[in-house]
Amino acid sequence: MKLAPLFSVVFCLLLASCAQPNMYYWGNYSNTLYNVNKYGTDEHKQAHLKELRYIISKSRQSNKKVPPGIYLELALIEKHNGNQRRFEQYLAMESKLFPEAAQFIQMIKQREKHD
Amino acid sequence: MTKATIIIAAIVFLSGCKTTPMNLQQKFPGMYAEKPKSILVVPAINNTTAADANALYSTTIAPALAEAGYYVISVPLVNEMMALEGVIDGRQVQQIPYELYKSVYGADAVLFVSINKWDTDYMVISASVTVSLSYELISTTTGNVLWSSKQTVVQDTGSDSDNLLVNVLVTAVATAASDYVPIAREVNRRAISTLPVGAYHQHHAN
Repeated sequence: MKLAPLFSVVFCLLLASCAQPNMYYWGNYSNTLYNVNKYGTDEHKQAHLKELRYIISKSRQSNKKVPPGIYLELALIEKHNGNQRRFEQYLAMESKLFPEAAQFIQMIKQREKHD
Repeated sequence: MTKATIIIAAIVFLSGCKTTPMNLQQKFPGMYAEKPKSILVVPAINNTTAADANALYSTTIAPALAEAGYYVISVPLVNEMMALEGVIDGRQVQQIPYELYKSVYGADAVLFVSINKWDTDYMVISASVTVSLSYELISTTTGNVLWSSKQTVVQDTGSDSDNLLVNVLVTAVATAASDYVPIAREVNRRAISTLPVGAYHQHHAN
């Protein structure tokens, strides 16, 4: 049974090759957003905002791309709070990361003008 | 144990890793012909009596699609925009021409999710939560169905105490507090494992 250790190694390597690491860092995104949708209190909105910011810093730390839509959610929050400059900055950041967002961002800007 | 055994084991494990691209290509040829990059998820079609299923489910789908390599147009933003137009259920947008999702939102494909079951079955001493979803990804260029899937997950939330009365109480409490999100995530995971990967995925072939 000298081959048993070798077999174990092969087994482990194969299992490891199956598991894929996440492309993005999501933190508690679904849970904090869930609470906003379910309860909608300011407290939960603050917690979600905090989570969005944490996702960005954590993504940068681990050299991952910020997940799609995170900058857009932040942009919208900044708009609601009247921070026009930050709103535009975040839109630009999403656009830089994901060229596919261009049309959607243009639409957000158009709606903004009509508000 | 022989070398042959190891080789056979290796082949079995490797083949268990991933559905071969050939199968997916035969099953969903439109995905390979059109190679959609951006997906818009419209509010789900809720076929259940759980009024909040839609809002709660919508928090789980973006991470699942993004990890499969797609650009997902912000789900909360789309929900908010649609709500302003009075749209809260996917049924209301089924008649919208698909090209509009392209010209207005820049989406290559639009995902319709139907929530078929989102509930808790109480039995005397146990309970289970069931989430059943069906998915249909539609091209905004051709209107064709590019991919579809139907998945159900049942999770037992009952307790296993010996005392019947305690059991009944614990079951009710555990189920009330139980979260549909992890179950919905598992349903998404199973469905999206049959979706060919998108452009941002490391295994994507051009």
